[in-house]
Amino acid sequence: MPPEPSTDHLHDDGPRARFARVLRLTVPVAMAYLPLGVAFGVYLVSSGIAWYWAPLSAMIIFAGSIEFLAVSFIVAGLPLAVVAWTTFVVNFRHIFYGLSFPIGRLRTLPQKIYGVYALTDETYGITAAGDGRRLDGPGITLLQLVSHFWWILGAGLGAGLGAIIPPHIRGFEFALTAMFLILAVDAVRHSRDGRLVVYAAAACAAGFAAERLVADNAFLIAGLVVYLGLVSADWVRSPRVREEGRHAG
Amino acid sequence: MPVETISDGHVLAVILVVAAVTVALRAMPYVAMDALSRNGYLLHLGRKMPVGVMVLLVAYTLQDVDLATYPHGLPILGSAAVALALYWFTRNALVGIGAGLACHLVAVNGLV
Repeated sequence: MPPEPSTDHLHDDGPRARFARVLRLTVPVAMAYLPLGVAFGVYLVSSGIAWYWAPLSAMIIFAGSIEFLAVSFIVAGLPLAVVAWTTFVVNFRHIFYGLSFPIGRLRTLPQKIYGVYALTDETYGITAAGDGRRLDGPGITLLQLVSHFWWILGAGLGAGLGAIIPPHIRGFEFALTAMFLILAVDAVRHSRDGRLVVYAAAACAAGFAAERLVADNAFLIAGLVVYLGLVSADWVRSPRVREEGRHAG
Repeated sequence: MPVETISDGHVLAVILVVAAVTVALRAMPYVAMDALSRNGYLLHLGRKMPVGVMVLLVAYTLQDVDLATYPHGLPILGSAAVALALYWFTRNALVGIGAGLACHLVAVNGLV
């Protein structure tokens, strides 16, 4: 366990100063969560789901892209087992965030449980860098609660907006395409491995083929299995890849 | 699209399943921290999966685009190109999503 940065100065001032400090830390979170939450709420309502599910979903799930995807699963009527498996593969990368989240600073069991429950990309990022590294347990919990609030508020505002937009206006589902496009650009930039794009293209082709030839809604499962297989084959084939795996991370 | 037939029970069931799997993944490191951080194969997957997952998700949202008939998928593909280009150069996700969505809404409702 590495030594924790000092949290003493946070104990010196009162709860109001602490709240103001945490609120300032969540400003970048609010700037990301509010517009995205609005897009989510509008998309959910325009998909034909009752408006109150936007804030409820934001409260229950508290994740970004998978929450948009859940809407498309609902509309497509995917079986729950397929929903579970697809969520597992899509969010698999989240396993590794927890490895460095400072759960040791959270003292009570409810704090720890909520800490893991609300462990999003953004709350992880803030506790891992800059001033956020000096937050104590209650500070982290407050940070997560305020971030969660921004997300629910955004979704609620979006649902309200979606309810007043005339239903003949179409095209909000593009928010989903745009969001994944941006996440794909980030992933490609970070990976620095050109083969992965080729593998992804092959997986897409397999997905299209499965959807047309095998079964409705087979696209994601077939594509993910093929991609997983190609990436795993790299691992089995190459001792160099295995060495990298051992030393990185 | 079956707009009127989405029941609250179905919505709740999907939301609960997605939430349960997401929370289970977030909790995994605390249950099996050592095994995870020492397992090279899982670390390999953690690094290599995002590209494929995200590209597949983009394709998933595009799979019903009809290229054969008018407007030949141009509204969505053009808007995607706008979103991609703007994000590439500004590195601002909101600019990319916002401009792409605006293009798509105008194209779908105003032009076609």
